[in-house]
Amino acid sequence: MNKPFLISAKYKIPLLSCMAIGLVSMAYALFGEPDHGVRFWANFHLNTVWLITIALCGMVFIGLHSLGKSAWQVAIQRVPEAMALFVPVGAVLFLIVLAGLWLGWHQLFQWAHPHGDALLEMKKAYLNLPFFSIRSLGYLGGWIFFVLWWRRLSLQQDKQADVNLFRKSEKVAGGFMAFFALSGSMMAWDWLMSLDPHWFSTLYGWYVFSGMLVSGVAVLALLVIGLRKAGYLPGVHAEHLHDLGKYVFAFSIFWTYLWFSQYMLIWYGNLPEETVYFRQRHQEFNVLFLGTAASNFLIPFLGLMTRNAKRTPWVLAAVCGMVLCGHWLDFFLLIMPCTLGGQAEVGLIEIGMMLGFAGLFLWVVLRALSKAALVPVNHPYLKESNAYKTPY
Amino acid sequence: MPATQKMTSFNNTTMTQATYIKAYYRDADALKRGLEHLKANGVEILDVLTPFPVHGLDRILGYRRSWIGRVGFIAGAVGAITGFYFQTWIFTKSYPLNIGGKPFLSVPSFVPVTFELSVLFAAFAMVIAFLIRSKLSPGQAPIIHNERITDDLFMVLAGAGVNPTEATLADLIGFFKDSGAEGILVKDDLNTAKNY
Repeated sequence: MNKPFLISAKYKIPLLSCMAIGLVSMAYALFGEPDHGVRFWANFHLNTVWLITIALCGMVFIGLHSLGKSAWQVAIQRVPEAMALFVPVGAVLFLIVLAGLWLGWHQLFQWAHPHGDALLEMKKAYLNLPFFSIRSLGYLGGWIFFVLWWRRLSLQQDKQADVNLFRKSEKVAGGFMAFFALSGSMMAWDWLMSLDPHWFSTLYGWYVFSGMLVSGVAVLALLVIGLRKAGYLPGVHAEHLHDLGKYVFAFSIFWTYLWFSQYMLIWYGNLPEETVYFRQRHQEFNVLFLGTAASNFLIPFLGLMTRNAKRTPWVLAAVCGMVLCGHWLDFFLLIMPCTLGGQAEVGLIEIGMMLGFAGLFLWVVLRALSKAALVPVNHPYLKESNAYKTPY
Repeated sequence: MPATQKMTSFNNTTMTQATYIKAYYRDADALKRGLEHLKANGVEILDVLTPFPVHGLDRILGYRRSWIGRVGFIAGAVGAITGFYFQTWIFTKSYPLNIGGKPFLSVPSFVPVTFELSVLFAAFAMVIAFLIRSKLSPGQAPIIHNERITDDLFMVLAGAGVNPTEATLADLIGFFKDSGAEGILVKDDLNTAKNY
């Protein structure tokens, strides 16, 4: 009944062509652009962090439901698990950025070269190369540790139906959530906010977290819809899609709330060292900046408001696809104005590199899916998950 | 009310007496199993009263989805438009104030109030729509079938038709007994009640 997932040529060819497009774009950005690789490194960093957050969201999704002792997600649990297994690959990509920082391949992080800048000299106690590297390695190491530990327990449960393994996996999920609560926020400061080292916002960590949850669950919903369409996951029905739709709907509102809270407080306070962030985005990216905020709110809000929309696979998939693009643009607006400034644009290099990274991500996720049964067969809540019905 | 008038209405109703059956269940699962049994035997179920919301009951009873969400959406949209328009009117026409050197028409500062008013309108509209639809209003005398329904008892109210014969009534009571009901009360419009 639950047939194993296989990566057939039908999937291989588009994924490999995506990765080829990515490689060509990267080569062009490195050697064809006269900017000494600034655009290449900015895009590399953008896509690396974007995909790491999406992969992490897979583990957050599992941790959240494990701690809440919920059952409905068990039938799709292998999908976020596979997403989380991208974290080690993302870590390798991030190590390339880190190596570039040490070896001077790129100038993404201005604080690495304070050159007498009074503010950056003062922030040196936190923003310096060795401490930054230790923190980054700490986050990545911690995430990989929990992801792989969870995966091992999950696969062990497929072989032996032992409730103690399940209890232990719940503890691993709890440990991950506690670790993530801290590291998730700090990752946002270090990898994203420190790109603009003069500026700060206390809300930034939450802002990145909310966007990450929306895009992560959107990817999860797209994968589940895709697998169902290909004839896998027979135990998953409209009730599960309904709940995934609720997540995208609710966390899109949450994201808008944080976007607006950050914007309004800075707009109202009108302190030059804070408003500089929005001033730059208004002047250089006004249409994109306001358009992304509006579409990331209105598309899921109006598109997924009704029950039928959340339960209809193609509507949910369409909204998730648009939301995912919107949140990639949001990441673009977090990173590009601080690195490329006004010259940044969503050009062929950006799209090509995004496709390349997305192809790699999907390849890793599908490979992880093909490595194990698509459903955790011995999970104690599996039966409940298959029979799950959302209250009206 | 004079006694004679009461007697008249009393006599009129004797011709069309509706009989009801109240059946009590111990817990939510017993209630759901009982309802499935009653439904299979074609018993007309008028209402189910429970101390807390029981999941899946709406599906067993075949209730349609509530339209109260639509009331909420429309009222919320009206609230958002009202809130936004009201503020623009105040700050540009009625009482323009210079606040921190911001322009009079400062959209960001209007957003929180617009949001609050849409929530307020939606919430009030939904509560009022619910009260109207459920024929409830403040000050109305409540109909209490059994005080334990607000505590630990689950009740099914079923119709037994007008002037049922002894045989049909006996059949119905049999269905209820088979459905696992812990107490069965047959009651007609004259308020003569009988326990089974």
